[in-house]
Amino acid sequence: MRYLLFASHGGLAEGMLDSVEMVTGKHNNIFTISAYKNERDNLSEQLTTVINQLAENDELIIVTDIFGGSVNNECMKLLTDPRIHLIAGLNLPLAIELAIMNGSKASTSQLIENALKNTKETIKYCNHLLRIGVADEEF
Amino acid sequence: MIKLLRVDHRLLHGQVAFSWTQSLGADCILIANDDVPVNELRKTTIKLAKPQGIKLVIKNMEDAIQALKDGVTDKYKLFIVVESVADAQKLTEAYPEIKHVNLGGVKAKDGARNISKAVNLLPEEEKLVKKMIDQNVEVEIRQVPSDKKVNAGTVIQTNG
Repeated sequence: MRYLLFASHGGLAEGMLDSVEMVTGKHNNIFTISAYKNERDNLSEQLTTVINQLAENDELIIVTDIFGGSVNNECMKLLTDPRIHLIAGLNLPLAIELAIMNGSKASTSQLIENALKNTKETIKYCNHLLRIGVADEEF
Repeated sequence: MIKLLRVDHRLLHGQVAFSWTQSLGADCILIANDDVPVNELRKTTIKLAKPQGIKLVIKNMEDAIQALKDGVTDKYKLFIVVESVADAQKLTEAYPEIKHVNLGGVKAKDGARNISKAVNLLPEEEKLVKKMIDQNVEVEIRQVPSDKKVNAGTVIQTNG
């Protein structure tokens, strides 16, 4: 089984899951950690709680909000565990792509490569797009 | 081959582009609507929202019906999206090969009754739904493919 974990500074992660599910429907394999919302939260323990739920053959794709941030830095320490894959740069197109492709038979690293390739292009300056225009298609 | 006809007042947007197209295995989306072809901004926005690797054709209702009847759509796994129950009923009446209509989103408006999350029907729209059902079209309510199918006829009867 393949699991996803969205992890962020504050509420982005849980909000991201809410938005993903509005578009794609419910998922039962996505965890979230909205870090540092309470004084007593301990990120390392929160991560351990998720990882302890994984079976030996399970895999976990962690997507953090920002590369170089403390959440991602903490997750970097987990990469000695071969079941864990880490992506920095949580955004809705990427989150949807991963959630949808999660049932795919492709290897997890292949799935991640594809998802990154497909979604890196989705950050757009829309004013510019309108100036360029798009051709009509026919049957 | 027609995979599905969906009624969605937002036409092509996230749920449609990402979830439905993928789950239906559609390779072509037809937007049948009388405003979009003549509304440049709306048309461009829809064209830009197209999922990768999928053909997107935008036609007014009359041309859409003609294309279906001419058979030029036969080679596609076609997913048709219209914005209203009235447009859906026009299509199913003109092209009886459409056997399955999904109600995804019909905006709330004065006099409309909320029959399901995101689906609000005026009395005349309820009549059109019944008319489609009488013509042996399956009319079901779902926002996303993984939602449980709700039979529109049952909901209208129960609440009506």
